[in-house]
Amino acid sequence: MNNVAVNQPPVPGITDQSRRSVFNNNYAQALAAGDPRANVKQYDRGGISRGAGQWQQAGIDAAQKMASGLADAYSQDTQAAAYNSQNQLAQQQAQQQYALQLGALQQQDAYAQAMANLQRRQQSLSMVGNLLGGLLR
Amino acid sequence: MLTYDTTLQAQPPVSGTQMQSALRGLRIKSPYGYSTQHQDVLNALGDQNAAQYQMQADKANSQFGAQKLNAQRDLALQGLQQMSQARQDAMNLSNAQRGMSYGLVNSLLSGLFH
Repeated sequence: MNNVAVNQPPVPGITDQSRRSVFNNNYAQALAAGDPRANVKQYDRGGISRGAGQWQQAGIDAAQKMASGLADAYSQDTQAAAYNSQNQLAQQQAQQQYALQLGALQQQDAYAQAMANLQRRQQSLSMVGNLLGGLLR
Repeated sequence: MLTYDTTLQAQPPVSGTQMQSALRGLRIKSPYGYSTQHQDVLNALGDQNAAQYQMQADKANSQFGAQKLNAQRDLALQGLQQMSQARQDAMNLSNAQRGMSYGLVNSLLSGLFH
């Protein structure tokens, strides 16, 4: 007896909530890293006050970090989406193949039964045929 | 025509709406309003990243599309092979039934005309 149901609910992939959470964290991190104030300290020199040049360089660094962080955030999210799509497709395909194989097995079983029944009838009729053939001789 | 659209319902990874949203997000206007140069660098990199994102999304959608098409073909082919096998089995059964009837008649006739 086969107890495996054909229409089983799919195994969930990466949840929307999890994806959103990772994306939001990455996004926030990118914005934080893109603040020029967070990038100016590295250009400080002892005894010299900050000038326009340091702030300008900090602004460029900040823009690069923000752009890079945002690109990573969206890229990671796309990878998660691709994983989910492929995972769903693989499960649906496997489920469909399982149903097809189950159908084929049932058809083969029905055929084997029908052939066995026919052979039994053939044996009986063969005996009757031989008897009648002998009687009529 | 077999499409398996109802059984293979998985959607492509990046929809048009998601793509547009991501492209807008990558071309961000700096929330710091710091300097023109800061925004200029951000604009240039945003455009570059948006182009790369679009390519990455297209690639992911294309890979998914190819996988789905292959899956549809595999399932359709498997189904057709099974239908062919079932038809062959049905014919075998029919031939065996016919053979049995002929065998009986043959036995009777050979007895009669012996």
